[in-house]
This record gives sequence, structure tokens and C-alpha cells, in this order.
Amino acid sequence: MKVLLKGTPASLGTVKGRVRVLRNPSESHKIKKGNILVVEMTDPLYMHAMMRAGGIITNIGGILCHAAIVSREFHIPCIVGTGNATEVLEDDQLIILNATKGEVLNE
Amino acid sequence: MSNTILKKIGITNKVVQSWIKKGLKITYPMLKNKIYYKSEDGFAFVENGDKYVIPLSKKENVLYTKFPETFKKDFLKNVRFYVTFINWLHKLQPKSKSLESRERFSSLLLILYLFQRAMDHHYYHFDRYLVYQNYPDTPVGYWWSKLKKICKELSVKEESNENVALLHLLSNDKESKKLKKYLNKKQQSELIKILKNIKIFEEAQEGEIQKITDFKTKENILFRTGIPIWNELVDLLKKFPDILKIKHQSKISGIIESHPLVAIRLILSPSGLEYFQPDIFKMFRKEIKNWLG
Repeated sequence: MKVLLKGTPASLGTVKGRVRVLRNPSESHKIKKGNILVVEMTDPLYMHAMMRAGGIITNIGGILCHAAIVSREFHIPCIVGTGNATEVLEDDQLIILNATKGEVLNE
Repeated sequence: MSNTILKKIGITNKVVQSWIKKGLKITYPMLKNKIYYKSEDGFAFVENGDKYVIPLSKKENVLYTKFPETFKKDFLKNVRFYVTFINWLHKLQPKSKSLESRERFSSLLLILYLFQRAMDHHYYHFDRYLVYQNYPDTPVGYWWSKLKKICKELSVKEESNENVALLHLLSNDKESKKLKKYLNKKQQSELIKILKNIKIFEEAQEGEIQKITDFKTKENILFRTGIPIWNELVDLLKKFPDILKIKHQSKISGIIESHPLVAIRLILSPSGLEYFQPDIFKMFRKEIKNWLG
């Protein structure tokens, strides 16, 4: 398996799922239960999408960013600060998010 | 003396002064920083906006490190103020439509500059510090480095990854209770203090996000101001290319096509403002002087 991306581990866990890249919160309906949510950064307008997501990956943010805080609270595997996840990952791509190691692997 | 461009849409000196008195900080020109924080491994943290971070003063840094609760209070006060200002700027944009095209462009450029500097004095000045966990000279970094030290010790005792221990402790989950048993009483009480302070920074972050989100319109208040102004400026540039100096007209398409957050920086930097014809720049400069506290 190839490491596609690295980021800062923000909430522990490993999950396998299909990628859904969102450009803004109005696209939240595109997230199906268990999808891996990939965004620039999150805010409360993404909450609906976050609660359905099996995992979360953001381009920017640190261990105290919104995505990190929410994912720890709800035990959703999450890595932040990948730099360019929204460009590297594509919709429907099957990936493994190892949030404990801070890695995204292709299936 | 002729009116400045914002006076023409009703923004008098009195209005400007009232914002300055309330604490608005606008600086001009927008220059890049040369010194960045370095992490323990020697790396400087540099993202696009970080080049323009208006740093906390030494006094602020010491105060906020010692008293994270004071950081939270000042941080949330600051975000409330700048959100009010940015909302006010948002309402100015349609007013500029009453001006002739060159004045309209210049007024929008000015509003965009005020927006960006307001963002810089909150989002970058304060907010960026919340991601500086790897920089022990910052408030968050100071407490973070203490937590990491404890986690390093725990990871040896537990034969596990340091990050795993850290995330368990932050989550305050079942595993964290098990981990705490490896610590002596002194370490346990230190850990309580560390986690309490980190929690305050988390609350500051969450409080900020609540304040910059308009739940009625489902918009991020910060984005709804800057991006529409930028879009209108781009439309005007396409319609009236002679707003630009001839030698710079070919460069503008590359800037327009880049990400708005990057493009706005480029246009508002001293060299970016040089792209415009002297009359545009003159109107901009005459008005911006009013806003410097």
C-alpha cells in the first residue's frame, strides 16, 4: 500500500472508506455515511457532514483546530494539516485513513 | 480639498475615527515578515498567510502563556470587534456602485484592503497562534511542549507511540485513565494543569468559530465579505483593463486565476498596488491615510 498523504494525527483510529471532497458546506448532502470527508478546513457549517463521515482529512489546521476538536469529541479518525488533500484525493477513491499514524494510504 | 473615495459613499472622518477609537488597527503598507517562529526541530512554520502575521508582542506572549484564560478573553473580544467591522465593510460594497467606474474600482480596492488588514489583525495576529503547538515560544506551544514531555515518558512505559498517548490524554478517554496511573502525584497534578490550559485554547478556538459563522445564512462571515469584493474587482478589471498600467496588463490574468486568498495578497502588496494607474493608486493612498490610527 502506498502512502498518499501525511498529516498531523488529530483523533485516533483507522478507517477505510470512499473519499468525498467538499469545497463548501452547501455540498454537505454529498456525504454518505462512512465516507471520508476531505476539506480545506471545517467550521460548524460542516457539522452535518462531519457527523456522517467515517473519517476526516483537512488541508490546514493544527491539533486545536475545529476539525481536530470535534473529531476527538465524537471519536472520528482525523488528520489535519495535510497541505493539499483536496487536490491529491478524488471523489469515490477508496482509501485507508490511519489517523493514529497520520497517514492516508491507497487501498 | 476634494473628497476621498469613501467619503463619496458617506464614510465621513467621524465614522473612520469612531472605528479607530473602538480599537481598529489598520497598517499600511502590507509587508512580509522576515522572522518566523521556529519549532524544536528548527523548522519555521510558513503558510501563505503566515508571511504576513502581525506577531503578538513579547509582553502579550508572556502574559498569554502564563494566563491562557486572558488569551481566550482578549481573543474572543478581538474576534467580536473584527466581525462587527467586517460586517460593516460587507454593507459598503453595494454603495460603491453609485461611483463612476475608476472611483468604484478604487473604493473596492480600499474596502478589500481594510478587510484584509482586519483579518490580519485578528485571524493571523491571534488565531494563527492556536496552530503553533510545535513552537515552545508561543502560548499554546509552551503548554504543548510540557504535554509532549509527559507523553514521551508515558510512551516508554507503555511501549507505544507518543502521539497515541497524547491524543488519548486530550480526549480524556478510558485509555487516558490507564495512562495517568503511570505518573507520580506531582506529574499527575502538572498534567491536570496542562490539560486545563490546553482546554482553554480549545474553547477559544470553538468560541471564535461560533462568532464567525452566520447560522441564519449558513455563511462564514469572513468569506462572504472578501470573496465577493474580489469577484467584483475582477469583473471590473476585465471590463476596464486600462485601470492597469500597460506593462502590467499581461500579468494580471495569472493573478486572477490563482486562489483568491493568494490573489488578494498579491494585489494588495506594495508591488501589486503598483500595477494600477496613478489615479487609482492616488485615490487609494489618499483614503488609506485616514484609516491609520
